[in-house]
Amino acid sequence: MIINRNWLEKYIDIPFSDTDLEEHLTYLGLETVMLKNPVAGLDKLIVGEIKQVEKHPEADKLTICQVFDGTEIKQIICGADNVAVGQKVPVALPGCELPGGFKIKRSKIRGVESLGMICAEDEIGLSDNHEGIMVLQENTQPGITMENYINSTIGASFEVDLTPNRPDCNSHIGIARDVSALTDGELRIPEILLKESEERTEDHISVDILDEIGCPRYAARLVKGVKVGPSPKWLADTISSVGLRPINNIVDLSNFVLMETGQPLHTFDYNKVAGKKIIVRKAKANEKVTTLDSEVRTLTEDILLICDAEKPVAIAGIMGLENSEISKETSDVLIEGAYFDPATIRKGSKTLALQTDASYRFERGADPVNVLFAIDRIASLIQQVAGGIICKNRIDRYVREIEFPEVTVRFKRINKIIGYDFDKKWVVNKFQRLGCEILEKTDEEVTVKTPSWRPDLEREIDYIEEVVRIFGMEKIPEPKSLSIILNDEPNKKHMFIEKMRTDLCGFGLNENYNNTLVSQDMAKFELYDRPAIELANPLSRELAFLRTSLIPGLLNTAKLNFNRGNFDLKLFEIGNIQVREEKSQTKARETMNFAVLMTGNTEIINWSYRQREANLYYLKGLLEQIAEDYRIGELSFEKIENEIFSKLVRVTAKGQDLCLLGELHPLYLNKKQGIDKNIWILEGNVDLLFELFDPEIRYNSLPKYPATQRDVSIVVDRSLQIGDIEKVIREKAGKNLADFIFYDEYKGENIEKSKRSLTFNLVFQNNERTLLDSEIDKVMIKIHTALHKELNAELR
Amino acid sequence: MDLYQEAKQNRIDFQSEIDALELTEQSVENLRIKYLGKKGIIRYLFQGFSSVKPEEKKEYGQFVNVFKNEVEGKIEELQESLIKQKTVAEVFDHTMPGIRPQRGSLHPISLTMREIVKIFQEMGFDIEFGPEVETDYYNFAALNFPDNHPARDMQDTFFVEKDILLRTHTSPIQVRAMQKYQPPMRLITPGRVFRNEAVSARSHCIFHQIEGLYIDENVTFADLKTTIDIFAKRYFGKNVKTRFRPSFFPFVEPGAEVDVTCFICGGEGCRVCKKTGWLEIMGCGMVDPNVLEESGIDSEKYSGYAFGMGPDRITMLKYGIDDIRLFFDSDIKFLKQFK
Repeated sequence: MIINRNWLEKYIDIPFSDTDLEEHLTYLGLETVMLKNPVAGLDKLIVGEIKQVEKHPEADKLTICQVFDGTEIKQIICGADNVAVGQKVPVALPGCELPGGFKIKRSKIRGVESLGMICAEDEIGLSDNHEGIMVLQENTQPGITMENYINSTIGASFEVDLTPNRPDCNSHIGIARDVSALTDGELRIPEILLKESEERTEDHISVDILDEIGCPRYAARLVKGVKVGPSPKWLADTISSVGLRPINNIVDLSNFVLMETGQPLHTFDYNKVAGKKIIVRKAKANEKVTTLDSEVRTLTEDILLICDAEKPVAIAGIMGLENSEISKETSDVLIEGAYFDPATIRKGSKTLALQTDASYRFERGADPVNVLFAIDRIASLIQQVAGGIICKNRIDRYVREIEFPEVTVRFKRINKIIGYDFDKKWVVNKFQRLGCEILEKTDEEVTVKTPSWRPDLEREIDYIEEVVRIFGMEKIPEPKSLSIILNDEPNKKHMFIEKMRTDLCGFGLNENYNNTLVSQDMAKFELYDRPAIELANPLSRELAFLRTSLIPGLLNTAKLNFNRGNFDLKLFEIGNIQVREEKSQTKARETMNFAVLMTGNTEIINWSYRQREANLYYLKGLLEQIAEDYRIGELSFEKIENEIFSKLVRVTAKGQDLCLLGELHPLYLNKKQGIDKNIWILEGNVDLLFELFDPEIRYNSLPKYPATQRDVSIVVDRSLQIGDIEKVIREKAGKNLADFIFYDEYKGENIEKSKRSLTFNLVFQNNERTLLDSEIDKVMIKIHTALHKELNAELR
Repeated sequence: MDLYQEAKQNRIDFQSEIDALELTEQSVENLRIKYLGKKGIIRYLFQGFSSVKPEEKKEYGQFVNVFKNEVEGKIEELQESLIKQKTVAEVFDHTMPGIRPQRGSLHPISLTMREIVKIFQEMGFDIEFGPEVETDYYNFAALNFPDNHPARDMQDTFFVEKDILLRTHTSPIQVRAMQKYQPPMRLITPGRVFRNEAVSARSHCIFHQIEGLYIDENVTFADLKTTIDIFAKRYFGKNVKTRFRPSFFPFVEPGAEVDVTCFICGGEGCRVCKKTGWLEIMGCGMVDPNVLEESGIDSEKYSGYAFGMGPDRITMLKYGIDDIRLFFDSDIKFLKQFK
C-alpha cells in the first residue's frame, strides 16, 4: 500500500524526517520504503510568477507573458487560455529537457521572442491533464524548483509492505495509530459533519441478507441530487499522492475513504437499482455478470453477490458491475458499507482470479464496527464535494455480530517471553494508544478489550508481541551468555552424509544438485520403472513428477555440459528420491540415494602421462574403496541384463541390494538422449550404506615377519573370469595368502586369439613365523596344478 | 709368480685401469664386479692367503687389506662422481606445469549449509531431517496456519493430492521433532523445500532451508537475539551488525525478520543491498503457544524460539551469483569453483 506523509499528518503529528519515518515504520513491523518522486527531471523546472499577460499581435490564441523566475522577468509565449496574472506556474527555461524528451530553446513565435515554456501537468509528467497550464498554490515562492514544490505540497510517499495479519494498517488512520503508539502523540480522527434531510433512507431502500455467513453486516446510505464531475483539486491531488488516478468525484471519494479508513465502500447509481431493494445472496452456478472492467465473468456458487430486486449489481467485496456504475448522469448515490466474511471473499477472489483493493482488505479482515463511520464519512464528503442531500438514517443490518475478545495479559509473562522487565504503566499506556479499552488493571495483570480493527489480537501472546513491537526489538538488550543443552549423541546420519560428500570429493568428483521435479519420462526411468508421484498442480509438464532416480538428472547435467564443450565429467549427487507407495501416509517412499556419473577422461590433460578414459572399473573401484573404508564387509557383484545398459552389475552387501553400476547402452544414449558419448553410472542407497557403515576403526598390529612375493603368469581362455581364477588360487594358497593382486592382462601377439595372458602377484605372510621358501614352493606347485587341471590354464 | 707378486701386479693394473677408465655406470660396475664381486680379485687374494709363504703372511695380509681399502675407496669415489655428473647433466625446465592431484568439489549450497550447520552445532544444536513429501498437517495445520488464511498465499504449494504436498519449508521437521522428543531440545533442520513459483534468475521452485528450534523453560526473545547475532558475526564477519524488525509468520509470535549490515559494502549502500545498507537473511520469532500445545508441549511451562534462513540466497549473496538457476543446471566450470 502507498501512503503519503502529508495525508498521514492529518491524523497524527510526525516528529520525524522522511527517512526517519521510513525507518520507524519498518521497526514497527510495517516494512516501508520511501518512493522516489515519480517524475524525473522536476528539479530542472522552476516556479515562475506571471506578472503581465497581453495578446499576441499575430495570433488570437497566444498570449505574451512576463514571468518572474525568482531573479528576473522573462518573456514567454503561452498558448493556454487559463493563463492569468498573479498565477504561480511551472516554467521550463531554455536548456531544460522535458520528461518526454522535448528540449526547450530560446525561440521566436510569430515574430515574438519566447524564453521558455509554461507547462501543463501532462507536459512535465505529473498527470494526463492537458486542460491548460498547471496552476500552483498561491503562496509558492517563485524560483524554487518544481521538485521542492511537489515535495512540500504533496509530501513524500511511501510504499508499505504489510504482513497479512495487519489489515488495519491498510489505511492512513491505521498507520497513524501505530505512530501514535510509538510517539504518544494524539490521534486525530476526523469529525463528521452530517446534514441529514427529512427524507428517510428506509423509504428508498431495504436490505435483505440471505447469506449471514458471507455477509455479517450491511449498512447503506443514500445521497440524492449529487452532481457527478471532476474532483476538486485537493481530492485529486490527495488520491494521486498514493498512486490512484482521479476518475470522478464520487469514485475518488470512495477511494479517499478507503485509503483513509481502510474500509472498502461501494457506490451504486441508485436509479439503476431496481425495486428499491438490495439482496445479498450466493451466486448461482454459471451465472454471468459484467464487471466494471467490462469483463464478462462466469460465477460459481462460492461467490457472494449484491443484487437488486431483479439482477446482480456487484460481486460482493470484489468489484461492482457495469449495470449500476456511477456515471455523469448519476444524481442519486447509494453507498454500501459492509463487512464480508474474509474466507468467502478470499475464495471468490481466487475463483475469479480477481484481486482488487477491496477484496484484498476484506479477505484480511475489515473492521465490522467502523463500517458506520466510513459510510457517514463518505456521505458527508459527497455532500461537501458534489452537493446533494443526505437521507435521514442509515440502513444497518448487523445479522451476525463479530465478537472481539477480552484478553488478560500478565506482566510477568511478558517479561518471561521477551527477557526484559517492562514498566507496567508504559505497557498499559501503549495498549490504550493502540485503541484497546482497559477493562481491568492490577499489579499483576491487565485485561483489555481488543479493538474492532485488530483481528490479529486474540491472545496474551499477541499482546506480548505488541509490547515488543512498540518498544522496539532493537532496544531489547542481548544476554552475554547462553545456556547449552548437552547432547550425548549427535545425529550420526548427518555426519555420515557429510563424510560421504567429503570422501566423494576426495575421489575427485564434483557435487551436483538436480531438480527433484522432473518430466514423466524422466520419472519413469527404464532402469527401474518405479511408480512415480505426480503433482496435482505442476508448473509445467517438464516439472510434473518427482524423481525416482538420480540418474536422469545427472544425464541432463551431462548433456548440458556436452553442449558447452565440457566432455570430461566426474559428477556425484546425494539426494532424496520418491517412489509412489499407496500404504504410506504421504503416498511416498522416500530414500536418500547417491549417484555417480563418469564420462570422458578421468585425468586432466597433462604432458606427463596419457589420459585414461573412464570405464566400468573406475566406478567399481570407487565402490570397493568405499566398502573398504566404511568397513561394510564383502561386496558381491552380479551381472544383470537391462535394455538401456550395455553393461550392468548389481552390487549386494550382506544380502541387500546396495547399488547398480554400469555403462549406458549407446543406442539408448543416442536415440533417447541424443548423446554420442560413453557414460558410466552408479546409483545406490545412502540409507542402506549408512546401516552397513561401521564407524569403529580397528587397529591391526603390524606384521613382525617378512612377506614373500610370487608371481603367477598364465594363459587362459578369454571367457574365463578373474573371479574364478582368484577362487582357485585362494583355495590352494590357504591361510598364508596375505594379498592377491591381479596386475597384468595381455591379449595380442604371441597369444592365441581366444586366450588372454594374466599375471597375478601373491603375497604370503604368517604372523607367527617367517615362511620358508620351500613351503611356499610347495603351495605354488599346488596352485599351478590346480589352475592347469581345473581351469585349463597354461603356465608361462 | 707367487700370489704376493700377483697381488702387487693387480694393484698396478688397478691403477692403470682407473687411469684409462671412461666414466660410465657400466664401466664402474664392471670394475666393481672385477675387484669386489663374489668372484672378484680381492676375494681371490684373500682366499689364497694359506698359500702364501709363512714369513710373508703378515706383510701380505697388510698389503691386501690396504689394496682392498684403496679399491673400495676409489670405486665409491667413482660412483659419487657418476651421480654428480648425472645430476649436473640432467636438464629440467622449471616453467613446465606441475602435475596436479585431482580433487572434487562440494556444491556451493552444500558448502554454505555445512558452514552454517557447524556454527550452530558449536552452539549445541543437533541436526534433524524429515521427508520432502509431507502432509498438510505437518506443513500447515500443526504450525498454526488456519484454513484459508492469507498466509497460505505466501506459500504457494505443490500438491500431490488433497492434504499431501511438497513441504514449503523445513518447519514440519520441527513439528515432528516436538512430537518425538521432550524438551529441552535444540535442533536445526537443513533440507530441500518447494514452492510453486515460476523458475527465473531470482526464484526457483526448489531451494533449501535451514531452520532452528530451541525449546526449554525460560527461553526468551533476548536469547534469540543473542544467538542470531553471534551466528551472523561468525558467518558474515565480526563487524557485521544485526537488526530485528517485527514481522509475521503464523508459527511464531512475536515474529521478526533479521537484517545484517551488507557485507559487500559494509552498510554504506550498494547495488546488492539496494542502497539500504542491510540484507535480509532470516525470519525468526518465539514459537507460538498454539504450535507448542499442538505438539503436546505445555506452553505455560516451556517457551522456545525458531528461526529459518535460505542457504541458496545466502550463497548467492556471498559469492555474488546473480542467477539461482546455476545451482540446478550446473556447468562443471561453475561447480569446480567452490573448493
